[in-house]
Amino acid sequence: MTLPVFNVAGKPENHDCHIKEYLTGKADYTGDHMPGRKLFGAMKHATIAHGTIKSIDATKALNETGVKAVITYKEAPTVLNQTILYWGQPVVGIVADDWYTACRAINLVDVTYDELPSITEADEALKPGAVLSGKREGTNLAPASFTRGDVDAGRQQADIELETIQPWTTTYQHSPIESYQALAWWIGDHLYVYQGSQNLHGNKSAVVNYLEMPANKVHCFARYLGGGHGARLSNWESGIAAFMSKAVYGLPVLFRETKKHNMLFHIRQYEVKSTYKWGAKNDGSLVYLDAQNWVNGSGAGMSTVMRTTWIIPHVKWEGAGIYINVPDRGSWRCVADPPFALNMTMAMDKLAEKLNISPYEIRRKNMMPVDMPDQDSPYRYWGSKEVNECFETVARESGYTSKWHAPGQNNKRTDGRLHGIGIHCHTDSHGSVAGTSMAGIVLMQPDGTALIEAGCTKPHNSPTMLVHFTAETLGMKYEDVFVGDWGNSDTTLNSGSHGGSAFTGAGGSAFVSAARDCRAKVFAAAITKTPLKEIAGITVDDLDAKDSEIFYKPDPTKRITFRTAMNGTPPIAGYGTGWAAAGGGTGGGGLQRPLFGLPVGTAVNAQSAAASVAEVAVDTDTGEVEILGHWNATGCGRVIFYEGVMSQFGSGTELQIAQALYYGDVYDYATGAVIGSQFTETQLPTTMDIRPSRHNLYPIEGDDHSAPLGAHGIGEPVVGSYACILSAIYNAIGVWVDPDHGACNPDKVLKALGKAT
Amino acid sequence: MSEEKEVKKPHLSRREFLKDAGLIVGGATIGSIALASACNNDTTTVAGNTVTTTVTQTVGTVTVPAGTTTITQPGSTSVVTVTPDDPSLGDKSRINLTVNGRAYNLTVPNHLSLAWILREELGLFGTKIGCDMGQCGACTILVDDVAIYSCVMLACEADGKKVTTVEGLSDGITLSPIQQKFYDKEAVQCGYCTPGFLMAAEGLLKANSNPTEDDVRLALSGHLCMCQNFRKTISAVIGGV
Repeated sequence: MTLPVFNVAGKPENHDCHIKEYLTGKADYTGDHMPGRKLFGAMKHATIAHGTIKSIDATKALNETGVKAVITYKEAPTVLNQTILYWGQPVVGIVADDWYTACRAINLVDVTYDELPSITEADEALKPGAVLSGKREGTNLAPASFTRGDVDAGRQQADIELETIQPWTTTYQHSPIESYQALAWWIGDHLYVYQGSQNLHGNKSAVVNYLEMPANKVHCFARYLGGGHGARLSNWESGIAAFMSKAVYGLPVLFRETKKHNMLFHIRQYEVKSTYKWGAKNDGSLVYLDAQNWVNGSGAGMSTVMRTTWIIPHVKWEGAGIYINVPDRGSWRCVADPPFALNMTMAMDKLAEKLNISPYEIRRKNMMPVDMPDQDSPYRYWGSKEVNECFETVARESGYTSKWHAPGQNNKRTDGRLHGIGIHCHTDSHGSVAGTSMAGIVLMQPDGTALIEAGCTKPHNSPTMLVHFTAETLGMKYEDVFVGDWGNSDTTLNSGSHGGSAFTGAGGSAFVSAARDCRAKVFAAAITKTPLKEIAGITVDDLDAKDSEIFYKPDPTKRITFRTAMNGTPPIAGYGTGWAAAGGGTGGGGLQRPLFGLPVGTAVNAQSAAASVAEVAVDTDTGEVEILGHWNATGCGRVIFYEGVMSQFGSGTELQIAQALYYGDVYDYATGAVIGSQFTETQLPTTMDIRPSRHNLYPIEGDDHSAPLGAHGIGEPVVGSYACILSAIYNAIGVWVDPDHGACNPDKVLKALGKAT
Repeated sequence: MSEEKEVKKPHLSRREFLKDAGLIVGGATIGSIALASACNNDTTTVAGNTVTTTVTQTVGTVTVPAGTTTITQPGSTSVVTVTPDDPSLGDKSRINLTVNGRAYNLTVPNHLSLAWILREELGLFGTKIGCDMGQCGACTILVDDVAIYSCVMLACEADGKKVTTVEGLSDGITLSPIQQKFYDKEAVQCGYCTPGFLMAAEGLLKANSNPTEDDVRLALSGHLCMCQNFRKTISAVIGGV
């Protein structure tokens, strides 16, 4: 495929606009303000899983030196609740001179409860007559279902059938190094809040509702945040900080969660349990799938993994999100799909084995071609689809077909360990262009440089990406476009949420639109300046721009700089809103260029894809798994901010290696209590667990015809490392390791081998 | 294992606990007097001026490039005897320290860590607080040119020390050699852990100017990054500056 040539976007030499601020300690995160001038807030959490607060006695805490205020559900009724629905739910806030005093004082608050029966085990929730958690009216389940074709008919066509149960996948805490926190202060009846939120304007809306205030009196800020992971969409902290500050007459209060509570009460990731009934013909082609998926702690329900990767004529799919008396879960990085992808890979490998073909062959046989529309109504095409190229790339680069062997056979290495290799691929909904309501401002300054005013924070280089979109669209040099104000709800428009990789489409399309608007206005100014004004009949349509110069297309020697064009002209602002791939029609969304004979404006799917191969050595005496090589490809559409893409891609890879091999389970299913409260207990990987020289990353470019400049989002990349590593372990030892809610650590490998209980 | 250590400071009231050297795992970063978390002090006892803490973290024994050996085992016990040197100050201490080349004479509450004082008293917010219990490394600074976790060093212990924070690596305009390597490799994700990694790398390079991949992996292993951007960070430090 021949891709359009970019002048700015995709250049590896373009660094993050704020990288020096990170490297010199100048990046201001939530807690990095008002030294010596602020108070600190901490929170007491419930010690029951289900019930009602009966009494709160904070007398001893208030008598403690340095304690300034106590807030409960009575003072902050919109953010604290008398009803307890999970162990660890926030119940009482303390404001004190310093955070340690506040933490100590929360232990002096006596809370009594009327306890109710609780349910803390997901499997129990599926049984008739299960205790109700109280999270949903009359049920613990949020059911969902999906049907394609006729599974019974498919069953008649199948030569081979497989029935398998995939046990609960890995869960883990995804606590960022910066604990959740918010800084709030009042000036008169105006409220100011700084919280590193992935959704600046959404946070403002929430605060307006929490405090029941008019929007013009709430001012929110979010410039930097320590780790987004799609889970910094919480705005509860801003509400708490605002009520705490209100309780101390508007003094600035920094509310910070303890690491223990931060780890599990906001961002513990959900796990999935699945049953699959597959049917295939002897040639390996799939004919039906009858599946169930249960999701513990989230309503994610149905994954797009299964629907959009494989040709399956007949599908029946049902399941439910399960809501029990544990904290609701956050999203996975690689949003919803690593656990679904794992279960899919495990089941498909089992089917391949039954068909006596390799995992590579069954995938190649059944993968949807790039020019095939969705198999389900409304049968849309994709703006671009890179899964096939991802798959072939990792297979080729890893030498998969020459290294693969039947599971547990011909696998002895010279060092005595067992060799294994696994492969995986999937598409899913990441990177969808979802930003119809998003907006941007591009400001051309009198000196001919441009500013973007971005209503977003800075998780993972977002403003830098917007600068690329803007510079490319304006026809300016990267170094002539700057980030103006950002992370300020008063001075920016909503550039979109950073959750789930949608920001590239939402914010990106908004700033492409804004840059087009700005460019047209600057061109209008340019044709009034020498030498362009001397060209008879010239219009803005005769102009183009490149490298910060505006030129006359029929005679490019006639040109002026943006600076000259702006000479004597007041600053020019361009505004724009984004579009959605699935919007189509008159909404300005859908295809931006014709594709497969489809006209501009046709609604299409916008999804990303990934493929991975892992090669491992398994020590059957110790159960230890070493990754010998790892090959990852991810579909990007066009690469806009190259280093940002590579950072996201590489980090997504490392994260899934950790999910496969290291993260421990830190939650007591019997009581709903948190039993892991520290990074060391949750067995986070360190640099000792990652060898950069063994990890090969392949960003696969496509050209999404529905997306801004053809780019998918890769804010949280589609990565299949989790699945392919477990597949490789199976290929080595010939037995599937049960994740059992956690990573496949040596104990579980030995258990699978029958060497441990 | 039991160890004893004497600290000539007033009664240490902050977290009502102290733990001795060791809590920190691996790398060029070490703990001075390590403090347990305020939220996890249930194994600490206080009797007069003696504070006894049972260490509950599982850690290892690692020889660091600077030649210091960390020493902690699960279940070990440390005993700190505190001797007041100026009762008129109450629960505060006077300290003299040099931070990024500038001399300070401070009176600091005894229960506050060096990280806290650097941030909230001196406004040096480049030193981040992550776990606040000596696990993540975000608060790493150099004390007398050795990388330490400043969340587990009391400010009152820093008397007479030379402290370097990330703000002191360069003038903020022209990057230092290791900052430039991080820049060239774009070894940043969300950036919150970056100052800690930078200071650990600086500490490593003071002891080993040409580290291999394995040297770097070990030296940075006391630092966590939840964005999981180790690949770029390691690459930035390999081979030194």
